[in-house]
Amino acid sequence: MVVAPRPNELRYLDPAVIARIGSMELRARAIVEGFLSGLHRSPAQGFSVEFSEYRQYMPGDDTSLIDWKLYARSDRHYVKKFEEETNLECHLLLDVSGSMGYGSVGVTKQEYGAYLAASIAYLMNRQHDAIGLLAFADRIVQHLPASARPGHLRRLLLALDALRAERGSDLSKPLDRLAEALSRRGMAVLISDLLDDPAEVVRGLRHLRFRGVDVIVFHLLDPAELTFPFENAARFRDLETGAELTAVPSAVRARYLEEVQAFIALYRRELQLAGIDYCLVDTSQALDAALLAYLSARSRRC
Amino acid sequence: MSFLFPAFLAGALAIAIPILLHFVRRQSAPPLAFSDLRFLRRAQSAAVRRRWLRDWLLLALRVAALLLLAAAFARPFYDATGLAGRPVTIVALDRSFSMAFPGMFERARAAARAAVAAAPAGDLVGVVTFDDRARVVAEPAPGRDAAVAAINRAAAGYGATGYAAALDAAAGVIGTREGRIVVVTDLQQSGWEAAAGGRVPREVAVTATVVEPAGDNLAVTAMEVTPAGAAAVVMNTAADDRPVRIELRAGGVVIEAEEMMLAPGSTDVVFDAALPPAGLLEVAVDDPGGLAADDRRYHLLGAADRLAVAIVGSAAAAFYLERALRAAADRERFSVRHLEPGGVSGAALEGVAAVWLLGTVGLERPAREQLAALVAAGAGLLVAAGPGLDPALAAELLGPDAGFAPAAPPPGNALAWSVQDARHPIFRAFGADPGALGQVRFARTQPMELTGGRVLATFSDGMPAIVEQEFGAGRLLLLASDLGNEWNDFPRRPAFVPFAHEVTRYLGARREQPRSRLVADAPPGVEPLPGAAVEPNGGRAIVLNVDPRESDPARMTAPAFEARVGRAAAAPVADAKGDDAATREAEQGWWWYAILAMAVLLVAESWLGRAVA
Repeated sequence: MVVAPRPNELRYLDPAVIARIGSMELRARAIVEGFLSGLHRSPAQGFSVEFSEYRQYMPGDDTSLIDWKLYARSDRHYVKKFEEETNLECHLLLDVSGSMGYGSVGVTKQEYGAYLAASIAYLMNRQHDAIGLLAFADRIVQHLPASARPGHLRRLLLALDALRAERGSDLSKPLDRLAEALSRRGMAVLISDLLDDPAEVVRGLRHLRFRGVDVIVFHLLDPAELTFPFENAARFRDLETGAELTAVPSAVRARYLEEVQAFIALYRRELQLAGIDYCLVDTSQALDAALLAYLSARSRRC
Repeated sequence: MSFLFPAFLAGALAIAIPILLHFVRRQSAPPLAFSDLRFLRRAQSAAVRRRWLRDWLLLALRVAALLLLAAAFARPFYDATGLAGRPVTIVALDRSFSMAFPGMFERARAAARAAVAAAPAGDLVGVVTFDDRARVVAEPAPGRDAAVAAINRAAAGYGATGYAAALDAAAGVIGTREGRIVVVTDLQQSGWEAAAGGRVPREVAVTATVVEPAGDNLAVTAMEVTPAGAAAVVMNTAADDRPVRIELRAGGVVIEAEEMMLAPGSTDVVFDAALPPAGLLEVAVDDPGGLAADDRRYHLLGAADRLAVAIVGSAAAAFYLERALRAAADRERFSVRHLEPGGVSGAALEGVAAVWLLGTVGLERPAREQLAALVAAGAGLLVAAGPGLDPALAAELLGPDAGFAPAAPPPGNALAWSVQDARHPIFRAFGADPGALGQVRFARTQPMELTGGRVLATFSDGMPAIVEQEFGAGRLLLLASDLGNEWNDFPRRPAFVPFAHEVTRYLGARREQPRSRLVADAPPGVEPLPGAAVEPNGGRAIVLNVDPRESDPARMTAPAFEARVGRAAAAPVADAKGDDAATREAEQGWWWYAILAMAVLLVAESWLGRAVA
């Protein structure tokens, strides 16, 4: 049974609820519509080739927007309004490495990242932007070149739906490859837990940035990774390497949290210096925060 | 530091428990998938660095607590010499007079020194010399000098061989330690005939080093004064006849000498010289190549104490018994007195060692109490049933554990009796075949009421005839019929007189202090040397003779000796010397401190454990 999303309900932005929706397309739609209704949707209207409506001239309006032909026919001053339209090429870079398969709140980071990528794709598709997808672990798992053709969004969503977390992890390689492959300026959205060598990751992102690509980084971390809430001694098994480590959480928690915060601060600082937008996302939080961050970054670029 | 029970130290292996628990718990921790271990690993390494000291401290506390517990059970003590736990080799050197053949004891000393030298390097070595008694002449010590010096000082004495005493002493010195006993001896078979004992722990090895006798021996093994003079038994251990001169001396002066060819084995030699009424009588044989100690035997003339025996009963009841005892009063050295029951008093019983109670008519309570006190002090009492014995009065005298029931009606047929224990001294006169007693016919008997006791003879109807019981320090015999020819014909039978003599001797044996004793039985204060001596208390003259068994040439083999050694399942109770370690441990009582320290450590461990958690 397909559950039709009700746009006015923000609860659909809860990743755990979203996970229960049947297809990635429906999920993306639910997220975006819910998000936009939550914002009291007010699509930006600006100067574009796409006509929107007429409005009676008001003092202060730009006189160049007055439709003189209509004035000739109706002897009244009307100004033309156009829907805002862009021609942006956006690449969604989704990390599907082993560490992204971790989730303590019902949704893995990989699933959360897929929802986020789908939502951004849906949003961009509404704005007729070209969207591409590059899913990677220690190799490129899925690559869909950017396109704004009808049906591309569906292909992209299906591809996102089919993705599963892999074993290894290597961020710099796909970043370099994308940087080399891009022929025009665009935008790259990296969705990853960034659990790799920070220096290599930053170097790859700088490379991308150097090629004129606007980069937004969504740093996904599970709440368990952020708070380390474990109580009893356990053998922790690395999802990527299978290595095990016995630890007493109470004994290591403080130090662990220090390490994690230092890790986040490092990325935040380095990416800021590189002119890259960084957004830390707690996967237990609703997706709207991430979408807001995206739109904020998007508005700065446009 | 030494330990009384070092085996408990094996409990220290329990320190592996917390370590094993650590590993087991670590393996049993549930696996938990996690995204990435890099931060955890860094945090872990930092935490491990912090916890390392505390964890090791915890482990050290737990291990120390377990070690202290094990140490407490092992009963630690401080041994200033550091020797308490080391194995011990004891060299037991036979110094009985059978080792005194010319040159033989020097060979024995050499063998003992060789045993000392052959002791394992880590062993303590001690020396015990023994004959009837054993003496530790060198306490176990790591050095060999003291042991060798003690061996060099040792000399053959006049005692008989007693292996049991030697082994008991050696085992006592070894105590609970590992050890071995090397017995240097001539393996005389009679050495095992002494008192019981000679059990050593299973873990203690016993070996015998044999010192062969150096030649043949002549020995005076017995001597007695006869009405015609004196008689002696002289033993020749050689395989052939030997010419020998045997002298009878009185007061050191030869009063008769016999020169004869002495056949192998024992020969009776009779002297018919007139003996002086008193003084030291001595039989001597000239044997320069044999043992010197058994070449003489001594006898004290005119000093024999007579055994005072009292017959309490009517004249009629005592008639036969009195005559039986008086018939051999001189030969048996009995001093017989007949007392009517009414005449029993302390004065009348003065010096009495044996009492025959044949009737109680007229025996008043004070007399009964004096009789009971006499027996309780070590005298012997035979109570014979009969027409003159009142069971109730007898019960007052004998107490609740022994007595007679009212007389039974005469049986249809006369009863006989049979001996149950032919080896008992009262039947010694009848040898192994006490059939002569079976001729006695009993027309009437009186049942006994007993608690315990030893049945020596029974009637043909199965009822006890003679029963022996202990009565204080003395001996009590109950006879279930009379001795006055009323209820049986025993007094008119040939067996009656020897029976009366043996019973009298047996009853009085505990009170009798013989004038002639073995060297081993020398009273305190008298040097154990053969010859005349004077008792320190009372100044009574006595003579000491060597044990004739020691002259017996019979030997055993070393394997037979070693097989004869009794084995104890556990270490024997150590004597004062062997129990030295236990005494020191008990005095120091360190195990309490170990327990206390363990408790403190456990409290600290508990506190630290909570702090770490």
